[in-house]
Amino acid sequence: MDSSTSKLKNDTQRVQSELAEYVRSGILTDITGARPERLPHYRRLVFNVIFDTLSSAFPIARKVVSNSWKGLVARFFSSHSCQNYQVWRMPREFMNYVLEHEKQVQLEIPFLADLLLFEWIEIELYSEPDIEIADTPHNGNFENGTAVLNPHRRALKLSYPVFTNQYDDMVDLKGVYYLAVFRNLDELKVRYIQLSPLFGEALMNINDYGGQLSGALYDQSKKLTDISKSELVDKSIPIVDELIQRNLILGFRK
Amino acid sequence: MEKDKRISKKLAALATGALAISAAGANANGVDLFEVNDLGTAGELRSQLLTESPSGFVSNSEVELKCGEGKDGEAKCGEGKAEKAEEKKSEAKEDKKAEKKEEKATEGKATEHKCGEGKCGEGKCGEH
Repeated sequence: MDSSTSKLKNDTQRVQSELAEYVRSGILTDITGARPERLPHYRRLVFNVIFDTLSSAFPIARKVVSNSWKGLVARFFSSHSCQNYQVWRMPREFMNYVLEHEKQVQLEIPFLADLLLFEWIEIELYSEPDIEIADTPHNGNFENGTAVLNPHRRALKLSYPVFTNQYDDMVDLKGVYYLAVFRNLDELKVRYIQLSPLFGEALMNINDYGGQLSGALYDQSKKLTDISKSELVDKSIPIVDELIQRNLILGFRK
Repeated sequence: MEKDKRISKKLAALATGALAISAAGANANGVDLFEVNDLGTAGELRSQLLTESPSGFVSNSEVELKCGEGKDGEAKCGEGKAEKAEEKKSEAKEDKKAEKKEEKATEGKATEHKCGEGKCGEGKCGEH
C-alpha cells in the first residue's frame, strides 16, 4: 500500500467522522467536499432510522413517555456513542443510557426502567443466538431430579407491574413482581409468565442449588411461609407441570 | 395495600386473558405462593397493553410489530418491511417529484438521492 492511498483513506475517515459527528450533534462544521445546504438531510434521515428503531423496540414506553419521547431519543442520539454494530442491540444501549443519564425522566415516570427492561427482554431473547440443548434424558423427577431449563430464559424481578395495563395507577402499585420470560422452543415466540415470589426467587437462585428446583423452592418457602416439604412438593407439582407444558422447564434428569 | 395489589394482579390477569394456575397457598401476607399467570406471547401481551390501556394510548395497529411477532408469527426483523418501504418510496417519490426535477437540472447525479431517501429513513419521516 503506497503512502498516497493511506493518506486518502485517512482523509476519507476524517471526513466521515466529521459528517457522523455533525449528523449526531447538529453542530455544523466545515466538512471538506460537503455542501452545507444538503447536510441537514443526512441528519434527518439518520435520525429517522434511530427514532423508528427505538419506537418499534419500545412501543409501550413510547406511549407512556408520550410527547417527550422524541426529545429523549434525540438526546440519546446526540450524546451517546453506540458501541454495538448490530442495530438490534441499540435498544439495550438506549435503555442503559436512560438509566444512567435521564434521571429527570425517571423521576417523572418511576416505572420507566422496568418498562424498558420488560420490552427489551423480548428482543434480546428472540434475537440472541441459539443455544444448543444437551441431549440428556429427562428421566428424573421434580422432587429429586435436576431441572433442565429452557436456556433462552430470563427471570425478572420488577418493582412495578408494567405487564398490566394500569399505567395511570402504576406508581401506586409499587411492590415486588416476578416474571419468567422465555423463547418457546416450538413456536419460537417469546412468552411471559408472572410467577409468585416463591417460584420467582427459586428460579432466580436455582443455580445455587445445583439445578434442583425442589431444594430452591423449599429454602425460599422457609423465608415466606411455614410449610412442610411434602406439602410444598404437592402444591408445586401443578405449577411445575404448567411450566413444563409452557416450555420453561424442559424436564428433569437424575 | 397488599390486598389491593393482589386484587390488581387478578384484574390484570383477567384483563390480559391470562391463564392462572393456583394451588391455593397464601402466606401470612396474603401472597399466593403457588400461582403462575401465563400472560401470553409478547405480541399478544403488547397488543393488549396498547389497545386496552387508558388515556393517551392508541391501537397496536399504529405501532409496527417487533421481532418475531408479525401477523403470521414468523416474521423476523426487517421482514415485511420491504413492501412497506416500497410503498413509502413511491409516496415519497410523488411528493418530491417536483423538487427532484429541479435538482436533476442542476446536479445531474441521480445516485446522490439514493442515500436514505425513499428508503428506511425517508419512509418513516413523514409519520413522526
